[in-house]
Amino acid sequence: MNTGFVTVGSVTYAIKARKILSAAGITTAMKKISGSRTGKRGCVYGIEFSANRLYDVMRVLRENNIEYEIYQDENI
Amino acid sequence: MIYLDQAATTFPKPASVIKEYNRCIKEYCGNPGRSQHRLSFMASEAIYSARENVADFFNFPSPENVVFTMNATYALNIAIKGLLRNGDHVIISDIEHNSVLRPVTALIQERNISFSVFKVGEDLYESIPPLIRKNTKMIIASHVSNVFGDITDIKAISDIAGKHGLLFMLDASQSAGHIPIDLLKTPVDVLCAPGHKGLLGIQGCGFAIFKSKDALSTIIEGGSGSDSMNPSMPDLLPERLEAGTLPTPAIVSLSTGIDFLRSAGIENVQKKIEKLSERINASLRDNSKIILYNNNNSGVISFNIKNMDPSFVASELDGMGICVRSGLHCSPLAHKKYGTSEKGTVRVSVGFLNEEKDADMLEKALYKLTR
Repeated sequence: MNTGFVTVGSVTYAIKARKILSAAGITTAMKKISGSRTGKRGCVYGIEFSANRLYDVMRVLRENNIEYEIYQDENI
Repeated sequence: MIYLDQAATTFPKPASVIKEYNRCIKEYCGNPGRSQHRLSFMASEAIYSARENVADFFNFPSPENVVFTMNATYALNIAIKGLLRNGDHVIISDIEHNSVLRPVTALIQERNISFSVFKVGEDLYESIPPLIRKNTKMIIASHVSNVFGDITDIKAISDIAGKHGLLFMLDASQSAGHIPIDLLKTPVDVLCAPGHKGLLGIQGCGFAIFKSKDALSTIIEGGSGSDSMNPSMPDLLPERLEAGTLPTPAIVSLSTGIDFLRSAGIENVQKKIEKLSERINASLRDNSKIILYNNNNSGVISFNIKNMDPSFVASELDGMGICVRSGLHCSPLAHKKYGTSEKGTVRVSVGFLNEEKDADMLEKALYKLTR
């Protein structure tokens, strides 16, 4: 599996995260996935990125007070 | 046609606004925040850019705290009803529009709230503190009267609210896009405004900017595009207060209107409106058959012609190709203040896209009506 994925609170935070990560030089893509794949109570938005940038992504999101959850699924 | 009803809605819209509105409908108007396909994502991105643009225009750091609504009235309602609790006391100004007076009045019955009224034009550092009670929660003020153009000293209110730990809610319906507002210099807890007036967007959207991310009560619930098995609205702004599909074309037109104002320079916009107001005020003041009520250059001017009903005057002006508004303008408090409750006034309101010739035409038309 070569991609990482984090879920965030809403589409607004997904776009915010994508823009902040892009400014930090991390290429991402926004995705919406169904709750059945995340154990959540409905669809969630998240950010997909190259798996080797996971720790950079976590750091940047933390620095910008964006809450996230790491999601692992080989079907992403 | 001469359009002098800019306080109701601005007309015409800049060409760039119309162009982006059309492009949105033709090229990317999916349902934002709902689907996995590119059109939905494009609409979501456009709306987020609009949040950034609105936040930046008012020098506010958090675009996710910009909540889009269908208009300013809706924004004021979600803020007033979302923040006031049972038994709270609120202080409002004596120029408030019904978009503030009516929700506050509704809460007297629903939540046993009470309110006091301060007078715009007085020294607010002196007049507001004696109105504050132990249970006072909030001060609500209209920045500019939609009838008489009175300008409220929002710096004073911001200072007083900060000193006494009160919330400050600003209705910027007549000032947003006409007067610079800097939320870092003048902190406001909630700023509400429409998109279709001074900000030059089309009708169909307004917004509230919340200083705090704290979840407030909702007055309408529905789809938010995620977490759908949760029977309650999400806690996070803006989605908590944005149930249902957002008006993407109206929101992008608002954002493009802000771009237009930024290019023109908000200080230049303000100067032009003041100059046009001064010109119209002077011509009204010179006409002995006209009663001019206000003495400011905010762009909103009210008058009456002696022995003529304001609706007759507005109809006659329309017959001469000039659009103005007559009546009470949904602002009973302001008319009580000026003693015009019985028949209201004729209101002339100017915007950045009006020109000196519009003021000349109005002067000539009023001369014909009063000679």
